[in-house]
Amino acid sequence: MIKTATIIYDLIDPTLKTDSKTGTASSNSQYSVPNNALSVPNKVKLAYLEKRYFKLDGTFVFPKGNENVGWESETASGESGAVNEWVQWVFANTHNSFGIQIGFNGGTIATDFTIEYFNNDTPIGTITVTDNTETTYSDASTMLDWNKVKISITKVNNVGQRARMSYVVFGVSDEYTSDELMRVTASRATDLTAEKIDAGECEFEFYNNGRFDIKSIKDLPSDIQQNINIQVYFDNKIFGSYVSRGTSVGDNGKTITIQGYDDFFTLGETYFLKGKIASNKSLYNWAVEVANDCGINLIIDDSLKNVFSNGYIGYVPHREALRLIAEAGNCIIRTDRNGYNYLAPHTPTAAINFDANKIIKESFDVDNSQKIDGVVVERYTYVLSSTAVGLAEIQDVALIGEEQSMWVDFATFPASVDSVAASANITIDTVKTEYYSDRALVYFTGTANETGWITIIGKSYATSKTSILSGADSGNIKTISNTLITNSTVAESVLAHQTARTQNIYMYSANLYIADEDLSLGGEVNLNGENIYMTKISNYVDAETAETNIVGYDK
Amino acid sequence: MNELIYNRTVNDVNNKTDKAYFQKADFDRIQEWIAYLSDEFGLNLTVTPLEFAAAITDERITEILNNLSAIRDNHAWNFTPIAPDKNKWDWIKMNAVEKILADVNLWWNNQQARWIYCGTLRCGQRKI
Repeated sequence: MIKTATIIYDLIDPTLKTDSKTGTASSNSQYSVPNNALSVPNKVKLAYLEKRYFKLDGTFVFPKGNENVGWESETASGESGAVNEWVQWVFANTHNSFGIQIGFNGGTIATDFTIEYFNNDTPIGTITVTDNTETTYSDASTMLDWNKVKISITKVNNVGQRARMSYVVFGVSDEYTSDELMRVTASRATDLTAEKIDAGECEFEFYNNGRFDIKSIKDLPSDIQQNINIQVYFDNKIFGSYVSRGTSVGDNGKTITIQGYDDFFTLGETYFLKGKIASNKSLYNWAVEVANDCGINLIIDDSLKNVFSNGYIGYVPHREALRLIAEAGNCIIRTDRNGYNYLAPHTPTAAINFDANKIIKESFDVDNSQKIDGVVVERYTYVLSSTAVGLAEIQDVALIGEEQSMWVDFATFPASVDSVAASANITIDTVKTEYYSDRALVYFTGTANETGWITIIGKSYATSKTSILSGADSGNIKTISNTLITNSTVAESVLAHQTARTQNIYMYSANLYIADEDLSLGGEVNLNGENIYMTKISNYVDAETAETNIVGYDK
Repeated sequence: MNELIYNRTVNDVNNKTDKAYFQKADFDRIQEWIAYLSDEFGLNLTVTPLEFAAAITDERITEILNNLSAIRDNHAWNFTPIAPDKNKWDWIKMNAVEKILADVNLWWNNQQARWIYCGTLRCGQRKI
């Protein structure tokens, strides 16, 4: 039975990472790059002949020239550790932050310093620190609408050492323990047939013991309400990693509820626009293309390098695009407890046994309502027409005298573009313009204040489908209609895999007394004599209840 | 020249004594001894100085360790440490550097003491 829950909530504006920023400093050592201090990991301590700095503990490095130290000053401190150094970062956009963390790893700690926030040159707020002794300094001040931060150091803890900061994080990781949490629910989910992508989700409610000075949701900076990393722990073991999507405030600010989902949730809201019919393109390359397009970190199994398609992915959400790849490659999509996303074949772990004593009474359920009697896989064939036709004609394009871009949807698709024509007052940038099978992204420049037209000529593909069947041809039939399945070998492989995973398969669920088992998605459990693969694991804890629920299907 | 130091222990590192750090004075002492022994053996080694607070670069530590090996190679040793590598530089490697210099210097002093003075052998002396 779960006893405790802990939430780590990274109160860090996610747009900071991608915003362009300029770092400058009063001085820099040969290895100092101010912007390097804005990333946390992989910092090194260099072998400097400063006073009592290069400790003989094997952790210092003799530099070759490209080491990442974060920021450090050129000159060393004088008597009593006095320095007069500063470093500042100017961001292209404004940001909000709740707290700041500064890492002083390396033996030198800034004891006296100020942190100033500006909107351009207008001061937003100042944090003054004296007699700091922490190697990782943190502060919980809320700063809103800033685009420049300047940190000025006037004293370090040692004589004869550089001022240095190995990292700066504009935000803090807030930790909520069982003392503050009112309830926590969290789940991880996958689908062994890639028929759908189930998103893991979490929701937690906590007492706001003055941590946030808010009375309503309006008081909470908008940037810290969404896209914040959440890590959920049960009994001090990490259960899942999520991204916040919603926040609500209750009881005049005394309680706050936060909802989060795994990375795949948001992929249902953005679309893949760049599908293009290719000859023998591996599913691995398709996955890389989709992952790059939507910006998800995805660990793709190498087996997909050997599965090829002559088809394409049309205009679908990124989540659906990844599902199509998984389905055609007999893979599953899942997020592990640390937030790593995988597209890989199902590889179950060794079975964990849950006998009747570990199943909460009357919670065991068996359901066959989704039982499949037969499976049909449709194999797509695309044949390019020999006749060129007009794919799109855009009239009355308003021109601005500068480079413009425009998505143009084809009237018939999929298609292959032969040429593009435009009115005399438009010049098409043929290098930047991209043609896909359903649409084109056209870059052009035209005469300001005039209108023009653009026509795209090409050949359409004739699309046909042939079906192969396994099992009964009537009853509850599952039809796999996947535009990436164009190869007969792939179609047969998918048919065999789907038949094994769906025909006569039952769904099981139970609430369990979990002690210390390490449950993983797709892992095998013996549930009261039934061997199943887990597809959903959910934990719930509040002041009176603690539950673990698993859902799975026949092995 | 300042006396070489090769008695550092893990307690120095744990207790953060002066001997737990590689500082400018340590660097100067090692370079001074390398320069001295280079002259004694006619090795003509390059010994590059560094300013206070400068980084001991990979190039510089390589120079020091190559010099150290050249000096150590003057004799077939069976007791002094081998020249350490430059990775994970700790108190043991620092001791090894200074112990090599101390042992070479001791050996060289003993060799010199055995030399014939004014070309005359006395009872019990031998020519080398």
